[in-house]
Amino acid sequence: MQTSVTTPAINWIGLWTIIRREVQRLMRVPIQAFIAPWVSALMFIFIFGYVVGPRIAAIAGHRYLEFVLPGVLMMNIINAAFLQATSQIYFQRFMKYIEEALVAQLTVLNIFLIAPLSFVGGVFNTVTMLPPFLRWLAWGNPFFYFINGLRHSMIGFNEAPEPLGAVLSLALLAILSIGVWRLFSVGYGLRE
Amino acid sequence: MTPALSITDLRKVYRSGTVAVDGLSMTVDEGDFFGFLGPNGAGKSTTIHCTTGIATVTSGTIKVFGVDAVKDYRAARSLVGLSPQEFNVDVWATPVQIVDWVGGYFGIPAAERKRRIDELMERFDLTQHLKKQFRELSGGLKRRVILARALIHKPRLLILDEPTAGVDVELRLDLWRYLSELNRDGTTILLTTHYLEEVERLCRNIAIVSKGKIVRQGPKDDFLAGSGIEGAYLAATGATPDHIAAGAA
Repeated sequence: MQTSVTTPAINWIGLWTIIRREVQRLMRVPIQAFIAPWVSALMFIFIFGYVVGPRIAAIAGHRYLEFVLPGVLMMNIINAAFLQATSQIYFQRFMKYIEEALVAQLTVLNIFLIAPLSFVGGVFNTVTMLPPFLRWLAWGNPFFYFINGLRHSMIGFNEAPEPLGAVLSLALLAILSIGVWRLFSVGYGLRE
Repeated sequence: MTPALSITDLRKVYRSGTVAVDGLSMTVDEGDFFGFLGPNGAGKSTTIHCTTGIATVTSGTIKVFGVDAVKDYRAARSLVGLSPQEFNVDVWATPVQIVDWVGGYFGIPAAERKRRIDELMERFDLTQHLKKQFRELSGGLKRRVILARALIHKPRLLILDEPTAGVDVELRLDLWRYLSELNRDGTTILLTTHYLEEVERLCRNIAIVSKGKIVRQGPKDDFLAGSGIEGAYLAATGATPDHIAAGAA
């Protein structure tokens, strides 16, 4: 009568369950998940597009609003992804039901570089507008490549080759995924 | 026969320096209904946490049906159903979601999960409350959801950490009946509780833990033949009735 529970190398059902659970949770908080990022993006667009924008010269032939829009969009995507993930992990730990997820072979991460990286990642300016001593912050910043890729796809303007951005982004994804997997494997911060 | 649970010289020291478990050894045979008793802070929950991988082990060994729960806690955990003392759930989720997610973590395919959830919802009289959020349920209903969640993967060892705390008499009796049935069907049960009547009614073997050590262990009948479970408990934990009476005075 007992169900035999197999432990595969990758627990795909467990992984899918975590994705499903997160989507179900997001649907419970539509204002926080969907409306708030839009309001934030619209405020940025209003300020930089209609208040500050007209006073700034065109960048590579593009109006400032066109230039800033992809950056603002990407910044909001990154912020929303980060906030949703971290708040949920915090809440799961607080309510202790993350203990149940320890049986699945999966996830956790902690960073607080999002805002600074977004701001020196070319949301509001080109890299050449930065003082020379700060430009390395953009070239070494993964968010710069995300924004650069999106901007190129939207208005055709770029400051770095997309293949380089794609390779760096995928490399970063791989490194972080391995890091997260390792942290969760040992139950870092979850098992005392 | 491989024991359902075998703990040898378990020691758990928290980072704060608190020694929660100090050389605890005990064995629970397969098919047993085992009472694990002790005062608050004696080390019961820590022992359970070490067994289920929630806490790391400082030293000692734990085996669940022969699977090393220290080295491979996930494999051991898949054999264990845990009903913790606290309601550790997403309180905005529905009973079905709560049970379904844990079934998913254990890797149970969707169709089998659905069948099993229907069975458990029916068994625990939760069918009227499927669309309610957990936070909207009464204490007794919440406890049923937690039990259903513990049983979703049909564990061979069921660990119940004070399952009837705050539960009304009717549900308690119902729960006792269900646990007896489960045990009869072959599920080994480890029960911690402060209701000694529960232990007397359900358990076949008992261990009493105090200050992180087992201070007495044996068949229930041995306890009953002496001063009864309550007397044995009070004596083993160093709090005799006289001692308590003197304290009250």
